[in-house]
Amino acid sequence: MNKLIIDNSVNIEEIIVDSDMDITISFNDCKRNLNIQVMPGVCLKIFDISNNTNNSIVYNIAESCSVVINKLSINCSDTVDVNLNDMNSNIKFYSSIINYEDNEYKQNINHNDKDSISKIINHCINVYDNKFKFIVNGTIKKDSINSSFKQDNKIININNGKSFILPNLIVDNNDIDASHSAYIGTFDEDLIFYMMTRGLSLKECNSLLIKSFLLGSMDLDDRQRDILNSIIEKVNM
Amino acid sequence: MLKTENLNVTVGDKKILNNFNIDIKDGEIHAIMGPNGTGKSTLSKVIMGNKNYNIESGNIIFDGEVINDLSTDERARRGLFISMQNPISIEGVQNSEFLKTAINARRESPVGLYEFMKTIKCAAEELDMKEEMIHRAINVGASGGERKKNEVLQIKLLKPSFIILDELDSGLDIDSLKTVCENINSYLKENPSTSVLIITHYPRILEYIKPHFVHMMICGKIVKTGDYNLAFDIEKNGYSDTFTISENEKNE
Ligand SMILES: Nc1ncnc2c1ncn2[C@@H]1O[C@H](COP(=O)(O)OP(=O)(O)O)[C@@H](O)[C@H]1O
Ligand SMILES: [Mg+2]
Repeated sequence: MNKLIIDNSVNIEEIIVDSDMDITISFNDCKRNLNIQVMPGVCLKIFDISNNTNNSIVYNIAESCSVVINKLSINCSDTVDVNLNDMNSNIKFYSSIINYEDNEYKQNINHNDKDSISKIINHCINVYDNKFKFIVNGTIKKDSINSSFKQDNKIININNGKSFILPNLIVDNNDIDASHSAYIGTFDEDLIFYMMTRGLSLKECNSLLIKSFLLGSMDLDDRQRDILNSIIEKVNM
Repeated sequence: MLKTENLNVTVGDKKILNNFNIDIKDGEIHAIMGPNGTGKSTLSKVIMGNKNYNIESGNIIFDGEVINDLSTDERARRGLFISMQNPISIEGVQNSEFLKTAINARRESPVGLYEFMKTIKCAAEELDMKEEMIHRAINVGASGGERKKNEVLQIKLLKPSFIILDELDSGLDIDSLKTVCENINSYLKENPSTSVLIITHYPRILEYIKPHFVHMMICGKIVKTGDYNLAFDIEKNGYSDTFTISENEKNE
């Protein structure tokens, strides 16, 4: 499998992926546009760590592709568009976010052809009493028969954050399987109680639950998991 | 070891514990029996400092100190432990990582990984638990019995000095109950000053872990105290005799 690393020093706006590839994206303190074209039949894995960014990333996905995106964002206001343009493509897209300032994450998932599958998980930890917004749109066009769109949105407020989820699902075809869910709140107090009865401080409970919440659903290898774990451990919550 | 003095506890505007008094000395095993909804689990959660329950008046005293205002984790680190009636599952938090964190919360310097894995594997084996349980997320996909074993595994590793067993027998088949109780008994033999509060519906568990005292609890208070034999009187005659007594008391 080919590997590509894109960071602040790589000055490109468009990537055409025409063979199976692992791409690591690592952006810090920037505002950029990136367009990723995935050619037919390609398996693409994205490992994206963004820090303090205001980026716009667009994925245009052709026929019979399989795309997995694992994205950890720390204090970002990114926009990501996914266009499943041709039939038979699927995407698993895991976005995990740690947020400390007023930010929003915009995500548009567009099913433009039949037999396309998307599984989307958006999880955010909102650390302080700041604002955070998910603006998440799913559009399923008329031609997208037999497609499936599943989206799970959750925001956990650690310290009275003001969080919003604005989910929007536009379905122009009855022959599809679409669902989305939204939860804003804190960690279940029964979980915290259980862990505290074993002697863990509230901070330690939160730390274990945060790791599980942000990384639990992601599709990572051990090395990637270690990298993300150590990033999360360093964040002061 | 652990004592409650005239403990009155409410949840919302519902009174659950009613001038509740119990005095459990070092090394003693007490059992509380009582019908459903009488406040037994509430008592155990209040002792552990669950914030859903309000202490209106009275004290919980542990090793001579009032602990009403101590946080749950502080109580645990001082040696209190509850084996829950319905242990919950925690998605994504691995058993071994959780237990390591819990052990380290009680130590100055972190436990060595090798030593820890050896201890946990040995404890799991003694409990007849599958080794893969150690690496699974806490209680995820586990049966009622496996969850109860996991609670006892935690006792073996965290070494508490005061143990509450809330309906330990529920969910355990007879062989597992025997194994689990044997483990608890050998723990008590190794740590003879440990005190235990067994909360149960059925006297069966008391055949394995013999209590020094048996209390009958009705409507949030202890209405009768006796020895081991009281458990079998209750099983034979039901709670109803004593129910009448407590109803009379209420009317007075
Ligand atoms: N968190 C709670 N909120 C509301 N009611 C509760 C809560 N916990 C317990 N109760 C009520 O208190 C009473 C005692 O419950 P519990 O302590 O679980 O009884 P037991 O363990 O003896 O069966 C019951 O009527 C129960 O419904
Ligand atoms: Mg109960």
